[in-house]
Amino acid sequence: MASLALGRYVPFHSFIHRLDPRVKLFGMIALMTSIFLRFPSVWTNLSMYAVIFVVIVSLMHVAHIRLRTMLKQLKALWIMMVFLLVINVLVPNTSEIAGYFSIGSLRIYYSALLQTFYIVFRLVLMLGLTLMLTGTTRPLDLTYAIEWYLTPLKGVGFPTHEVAMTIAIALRFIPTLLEETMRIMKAQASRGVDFLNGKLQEKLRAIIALIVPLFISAFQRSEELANAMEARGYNPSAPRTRYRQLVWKAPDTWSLFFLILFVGGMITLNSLGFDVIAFWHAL
Amino acid sequence: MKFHHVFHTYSAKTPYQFEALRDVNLSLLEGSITAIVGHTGSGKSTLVQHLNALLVPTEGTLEVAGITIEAKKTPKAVKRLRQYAGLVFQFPEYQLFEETVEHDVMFGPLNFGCTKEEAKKRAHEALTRVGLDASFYARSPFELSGGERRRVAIAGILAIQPKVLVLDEPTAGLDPQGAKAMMTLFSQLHQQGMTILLVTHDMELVYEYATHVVVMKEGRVLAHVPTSTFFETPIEGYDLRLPPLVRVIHALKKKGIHVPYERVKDVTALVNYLKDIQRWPA
Amino acid sequence: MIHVKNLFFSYEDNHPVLKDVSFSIQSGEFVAIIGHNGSGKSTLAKLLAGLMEVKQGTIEIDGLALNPQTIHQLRPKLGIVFQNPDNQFIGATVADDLAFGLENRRVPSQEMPTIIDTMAKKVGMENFLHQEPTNLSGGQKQRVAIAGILAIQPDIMIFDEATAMLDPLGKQEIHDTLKALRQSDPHLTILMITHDLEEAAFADRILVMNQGQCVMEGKPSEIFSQGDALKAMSLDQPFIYQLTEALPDRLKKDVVSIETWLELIK
Repeated sequence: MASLALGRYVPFHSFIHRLDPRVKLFGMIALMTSIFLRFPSVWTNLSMYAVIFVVIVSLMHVAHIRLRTMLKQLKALWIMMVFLLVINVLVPNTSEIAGYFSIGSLRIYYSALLQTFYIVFRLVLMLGLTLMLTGTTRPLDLTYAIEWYLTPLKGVGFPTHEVAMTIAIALRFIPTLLEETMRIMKAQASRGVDFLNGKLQEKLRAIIALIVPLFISAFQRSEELANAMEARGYNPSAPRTRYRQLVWKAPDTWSLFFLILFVGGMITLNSLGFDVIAFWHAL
Repeated sequence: MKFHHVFHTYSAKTPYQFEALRDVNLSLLEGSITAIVGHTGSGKSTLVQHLNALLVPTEGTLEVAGITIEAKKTPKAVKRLRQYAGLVFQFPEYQLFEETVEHDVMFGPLNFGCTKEEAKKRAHEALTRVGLDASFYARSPFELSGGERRRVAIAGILAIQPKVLVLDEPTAGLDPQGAKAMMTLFSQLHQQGMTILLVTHDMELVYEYATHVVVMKEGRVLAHVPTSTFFETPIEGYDLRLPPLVRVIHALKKKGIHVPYERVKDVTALVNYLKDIQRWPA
Repeated sequence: MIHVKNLFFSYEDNHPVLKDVSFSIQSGEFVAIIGHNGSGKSTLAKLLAGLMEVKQGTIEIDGLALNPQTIHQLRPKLGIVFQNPDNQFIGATVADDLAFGLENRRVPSQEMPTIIDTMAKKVGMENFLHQEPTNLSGGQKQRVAIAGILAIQPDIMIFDEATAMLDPLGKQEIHDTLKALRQSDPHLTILMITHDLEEAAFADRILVMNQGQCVMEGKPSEIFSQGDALKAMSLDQPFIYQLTEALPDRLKKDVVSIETWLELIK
């Protein structure tokens, strides 16, 4: 299973790759908030969206995440867009812009088109941001970033370290478990199991023949792993030192600064009821 | 079972591309015990997975049981192939999943269209063959020992009644006695007419049980020879770790003592032979 | 250094896995424990490593009885390498896995990179520090396991059938690593649980387990020359011993290798 799965870490040396995962996590959430801002007029909305679009796509370009490739791989996205369009279009809608045009007896409202566009636009950007995070950050580093953010919860008894360790181990075993799944599938296929065709009942048997051995093997693994961890002196409740350190550097500070500036600015404009046309006239 | 210019490439056109089989031309002999040897990564596993169409060639064709398997196309008669060539993977005990031993062994035959009664009969036959008596039928496979679970897994394939049995390191992890019992079973099956393909690293097993040997290296077939030739004539490009018994036999040959390969498969037989020809120290 | 006295153990009632096992191991000794599958040797390994509680009998390590109260003191002295290379590989990369034990022992972060590098060199894995386990062979993963334990500097290392799942190349790697270890760390006490006789032949002393009991004890030459007894316990004999067993007694002692044996055949 060596195919380039969507969302996988792609090793590279871009500026974004080298940033601290904590900044990237914050950045992703902050930029996502900006996508959901709604401005009073249509033109303002569209121009703000254009600005956000440019910012995010440029970042993606720096991170070597290609928007085009991503869009090509997401057939489901296009299907959904068509589906949404059809649904939206059938309902009379004058919320954003009044008016419609007709194709035969069908009325297509401009608002419906606009809203569908908004939804798809936000989705694409959200995906782009997520891919940028997962594509430039090693899963383990991301885990440590999440652990860092959850540290305050330790005070109220949340098992932050154990959760982080569990995630780290799960990540380490994903490729191993995938290999095992393939092996079990092949072994069962050799016994006549057809994983693709067959009646519902047969398919159910096929799934059981795959899941039961997988789970049993997983339980055995965890027991052996726990023994190994214990034998090496692991004690989750005792203090431990850390080999991998998250090091905050100057580029991280600057990135944080600009993120706060940008998103903060957008939010401020939004709460002030910013209107592009009014602004233009005022100039 | 014939391979014609078979190539198999994993993950073609990606950075992870790997040519596991290169221009393989091979005619495996029915009724033989053929050992398939080669270093890890030489293509042995990939090769045998073509026999029951778990994998199909990316180039070339192969014929199994009168069915032609073409490149990149899973044959329609795939189920027949799965029944013809039974594949037992390494550490097969990991495929057990049913509640009882009996049900697990019945799983295979049921998938191939047997009635419940027929499947049960076959399961009992197969379990007897691997040395597990009726007391095991109702037990859960998960409460058995590792060696017993392995035998249940093998019974599961035998119950399908394949003509060809393909085994990948069947003795891995077994103690010497367990390994011997397992190989004796395969010998018996061979005598009863089954073709056995043995993928292994263990040269002693090859010496003692195989009739023919296929040597693989980097996706190519280096040689396909009878076992006696394999141990007598060095194969170019292949570093053979001779089992100690074979080293002794070769050394005796240099002294002018010719030990007949077919008769002498272990130390006891060698000592008896030397005694017979009066070369044993008094 | 290790004293086992009257050890009994059962996983479930009426089914004893260890029956009155007693033996001693000196500091720096390399002892192999052999036995058929089910003879109790793996259970013995787990008890010695402190992974299961001793309920009947005693295990004394450096004068201290092993029990739930003393395990914290004794743990640092023990290291155990298990059979499955994957199920003891915890870190995301080789370096992370080597660091795991160090993290548990609260070694300062600044000291870790040097220790990791040194230990990786000891097992020949210094060029693999950033590799993920999926890209490593069984032998390589086991070497990492050995290095990870060496990093904590134990006095006793237990190998619980550590080569059973490896191909011949992997087995060779581990054997070479062990030989190197005996040279570089002669004070290390090594307990090797195995049913590979060629491995057991490296040991200073062999303990033979059969059906939960320790039935034989002695040097490899003493143990392996008893072909019939070994067969009766579902064990084999290393090749050279099979060759010499049939020889007339007066010639047996002279044979040390295949070559000397061959010289006896006219």
